[in-house]
Amino acid sequence: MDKVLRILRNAFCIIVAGLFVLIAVVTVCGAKGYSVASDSMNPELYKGYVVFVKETPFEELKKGDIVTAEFKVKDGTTYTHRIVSIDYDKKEIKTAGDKTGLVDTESATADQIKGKVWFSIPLLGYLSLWLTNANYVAVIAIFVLVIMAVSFAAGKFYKNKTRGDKNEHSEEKNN
Amino acid sequence: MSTAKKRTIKYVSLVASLILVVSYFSLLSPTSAYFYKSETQNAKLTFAMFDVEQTLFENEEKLKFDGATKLCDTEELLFDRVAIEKKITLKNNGDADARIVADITPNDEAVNNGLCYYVEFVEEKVSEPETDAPETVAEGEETTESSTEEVIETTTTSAIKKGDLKEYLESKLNISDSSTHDSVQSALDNHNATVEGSYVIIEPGESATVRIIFWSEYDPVMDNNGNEAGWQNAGGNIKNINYSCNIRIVAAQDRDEAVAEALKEETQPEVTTTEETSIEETTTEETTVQQ
Repeated sequence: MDKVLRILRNAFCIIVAGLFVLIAVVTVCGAKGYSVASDSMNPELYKGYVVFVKETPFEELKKGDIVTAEFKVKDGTTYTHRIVSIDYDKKEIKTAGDKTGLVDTESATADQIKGKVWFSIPLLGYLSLWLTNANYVAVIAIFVLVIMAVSFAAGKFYKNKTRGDKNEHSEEKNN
Repeated sequence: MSTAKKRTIKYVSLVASLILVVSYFSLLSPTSAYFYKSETQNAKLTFAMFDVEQTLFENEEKLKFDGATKLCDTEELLFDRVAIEKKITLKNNGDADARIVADITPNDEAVNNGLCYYVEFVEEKVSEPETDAPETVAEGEETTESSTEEVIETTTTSAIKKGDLKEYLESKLNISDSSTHDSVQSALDNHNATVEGSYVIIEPGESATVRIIFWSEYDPVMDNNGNEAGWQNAGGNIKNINYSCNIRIVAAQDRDEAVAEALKEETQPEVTTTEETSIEETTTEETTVQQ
């Protein structure tokens, strides 16, 4: 049982450390993460993916690149679709989602484009998507509290066990 | 550094990293959305009916005439119960233009024995209330949505009485010499070839009628039957003369390739209909004529 717990603990530490390093690297490289909220880019990107987007000069963009752009209404919402045509003179792109292939009604100008998708990771986006839903927030809060309680209890148990083992060891020594 | 201190540092680092990671991924902005205000939305149509059955109307008519008439003879009372008018009306209840082609093929014996016909399209523009029909079709696109196209047809058959269509046909046909059968036949052949070689387009909500008038021409009948006595039975009544003729009305997408493909299809022995259509075949009705 101790061995299993140790393996789980180590795996958890590795994952957390790995994600920490990932965040550090993308931040240093100037990329920003977005959680994919719909399936319009299936099969390339699914809902729940995290895409890391790097700012790219307009001249370096080309047809076929997946970019994240702000909506014309400029309310902070963005969309991530594939470039289907690009006008370097007008600095304008037309995009489409992979799933339907329908060209988006809005074209995007250079100032709307946040950047080109550098890479994506599945599933990690669900946390932020869930947190926009009040029901999910409650579930996550309860989950965190449970984890904290279990960790506290496990820590107490381990501490008592260690103290108990130490007492036994010193008694044996005295005997 | 003691083991306990190392453990504490490790523990604190882990917690701090965990908090940072969870915070980072919790606060990501959502992206990716469906636009779906595209003007090409719903532009995908399925011409399902035309994929499966392109012949709207197929019938081998058995045309029965009471006698023969002489179109070229202006003294003769034309269409003395010897002309049959067939009207096949087609209505486009679908969402895309339909091209209608008529193909009339009398059998050889009928032709040799004097069967003549005149065919024309009669277009009727019908005002239909606007529906939620999709907009223009993008070239070559298809959808998996259920089809909304259909062209329905009704047919009527009526016998024409005396002189009903004499002036009408004479005005429609460019007859060089109305006194001879050959010139009349030539004009008829030219007209029919033009109509059958062309088509009418029915837009959504519109109707078109294919009108075919059949009659039996006097001179060929006489040539084949010898004399007028051959027209009468023992009681002195006019005998009937029967002809076979294949009538085929085809509907297809308004594209040359679609029509060519439709006409290539083998003829069906019975009249074809769509699920939601019905053919109203009326019995022979008599047209009242004022002489």
